Amino acid sequence: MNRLKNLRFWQKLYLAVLAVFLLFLTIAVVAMSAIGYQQNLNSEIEKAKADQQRISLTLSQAFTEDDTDNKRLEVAAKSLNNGARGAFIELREGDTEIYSGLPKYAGDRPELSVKEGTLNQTIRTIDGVEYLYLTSALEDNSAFVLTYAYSLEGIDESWQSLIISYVVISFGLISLLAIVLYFLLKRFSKPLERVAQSARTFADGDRSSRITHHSHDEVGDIAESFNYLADTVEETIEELERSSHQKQELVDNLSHEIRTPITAIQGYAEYLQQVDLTSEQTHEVTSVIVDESARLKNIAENMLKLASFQEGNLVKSPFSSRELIESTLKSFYPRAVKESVDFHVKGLHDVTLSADRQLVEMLLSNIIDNAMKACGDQGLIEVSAYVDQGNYHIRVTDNGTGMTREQLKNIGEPFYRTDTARSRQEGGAGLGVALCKRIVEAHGGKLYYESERGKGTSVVIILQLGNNFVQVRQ
Amino acid sequence: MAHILIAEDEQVISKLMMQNLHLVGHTVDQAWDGVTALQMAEENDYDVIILDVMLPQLSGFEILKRLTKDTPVIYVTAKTSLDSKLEGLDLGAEDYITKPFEMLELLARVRVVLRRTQKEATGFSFAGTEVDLLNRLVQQAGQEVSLTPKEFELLEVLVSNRNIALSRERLLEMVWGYDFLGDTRTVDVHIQRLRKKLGWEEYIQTVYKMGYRLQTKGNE
Repeated sequence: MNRLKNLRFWQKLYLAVLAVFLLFLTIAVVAMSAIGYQQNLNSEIEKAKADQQRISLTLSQAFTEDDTDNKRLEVAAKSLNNGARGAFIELREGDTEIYSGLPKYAGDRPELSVKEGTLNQTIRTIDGVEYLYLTSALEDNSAFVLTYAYSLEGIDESWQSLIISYVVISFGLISLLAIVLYFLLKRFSKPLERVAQSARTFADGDRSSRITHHSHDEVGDIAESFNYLADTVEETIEELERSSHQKQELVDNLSHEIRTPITAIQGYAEYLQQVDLTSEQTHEVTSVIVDESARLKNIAENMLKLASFQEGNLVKSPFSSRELIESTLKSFYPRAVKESVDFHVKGLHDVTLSADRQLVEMLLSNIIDNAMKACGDQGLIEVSAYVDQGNYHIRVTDNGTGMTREQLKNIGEPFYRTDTARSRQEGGAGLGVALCKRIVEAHGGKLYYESERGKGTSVVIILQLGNNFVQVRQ
Repeated sequence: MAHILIAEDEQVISKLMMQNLHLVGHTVDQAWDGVTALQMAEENDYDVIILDVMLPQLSGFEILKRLTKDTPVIYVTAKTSLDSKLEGLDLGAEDYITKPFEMLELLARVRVVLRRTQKEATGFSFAGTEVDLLNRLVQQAGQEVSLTPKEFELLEVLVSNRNIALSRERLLEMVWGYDFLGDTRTVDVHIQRLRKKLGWEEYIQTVYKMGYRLQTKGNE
């Protein structure tokens, strides 16, 4: 049974077809030979009946009243007995046997009591040979009973040779079928093998493995499904790899950002401990330690904030957007005066935001802070708020350094800085924009950047009106 | 003493390394980005290059690939993954230090590289004392000062980490080794003997609650 289970699909199909074919062929051969035998037998019986009638007629004519001892009948009967053809006759008058050419038989002969005008038909086996017995009374002279025995040995023999030829032909057919079927099924199972092969190659890690040529039948369907599956899996894996690569990059960056201040703090603390320093040098070293600690704190806080958004815990409260923008801007005025940056506030459309006020304030501060950092002398920052295409926009535009296409693409990636050296000096961790993006996204909005090198940058906060967070003020 | 290039974009770290290398007598050049670092490395003969992996413009790995000279390189990086470590060493870097690291460790690694390339100072002279590190001899005014092997090793450690205070535990570890069973008083005893034999009571300073330091700066 186990060996059967180990067979390939086409092999099973092959064996099944052969078995079914063999069964049906056998049934057909048996049925055909049975029918053939029966027909043969019937025609022999008809022939024998005709013969018997002919003999009966001949004997009737041979009968004369004057043949008292029936000698003539005996002679006639004897002449009609034809053992070589397998036809034997017996003539009786009552219990007296006039002539008998029949094979010797010791049993009862119930057929002898025959009514006038009827024909008794019996098949009797004597010494392994079948005989057909036809018994009737002579016409016009019913005292005489004629028995005609016909040997069926001939038709048995021809039947046997017929069966042999049937078997030979069947065997030939089966062999032929076996050969043709073998090649056919093998050929049909080839595409399936190809599917299996491709799947194995795919599983072994060759993700480009596909089935290139396929028919339009069910196997073709399987091949197509496989290709589809492979495409999907490949995409998913690539997506996973991309995200894992991004994560690795984030970890690398985070590790770099954290290790750098730690190295500085540790190094300078050791320096302080181990080296004989003047008070000026001591001050310098301790300043570095203080600055780097602040940077570390900054990173830690921002990372915590970033992490907390991912859990989506917003503290929502309703407030006026115009009031928020104005109060945030106000907090920048002293710095703006010091750095000679001008603020232009144009038409602040007011809506009621139902959002985390602290976060939105941080978002705005971050954006304005970045705008001020980008500005040089004679900086100009334009702030506006308006409704466009069902969205509420808050736009902050500066006339600062702007960004290149490459920088624009990476902005928003954690730890990405457009100006590495300067940003670090100012204590930036490269997390600001990433944080802003998260805040806006947490409120179902989008953060949009437009920038051109040398001309300045526009940052647009786009919030959808009428969602959970933004209502139009009546 | 050795001439060293520090290629590191973090100014505080670069400065920190430079100050420590200055203390033990090396001269230092600084580069802030990959391209400059490569250019400086090609134009000057440095004994060692201390190279940050994540440099702007050209990564530390890329610099080593392009560098035509075989100046020994020590990588300094925040990347801790084994892959990145192996990549660095495969490229032929001498050593690989991950941040955060102790400055004493950096100095030790630099010393190992210099010893291997035979660029290490073979002698040291200070306050009328000549220390022959190769033949392990100390002379004062033409007279040999006889030191026990341990005393000489202690002197060697103090000299190669001069101007930096070393804790008693550290000295014990560096001179006597990890498996030494004695306590830190052994260090005190040997320091006393060394001070007396060399007349360096003033130069081998006791640093409060810390250990000892051979102060050469300001005493030349």
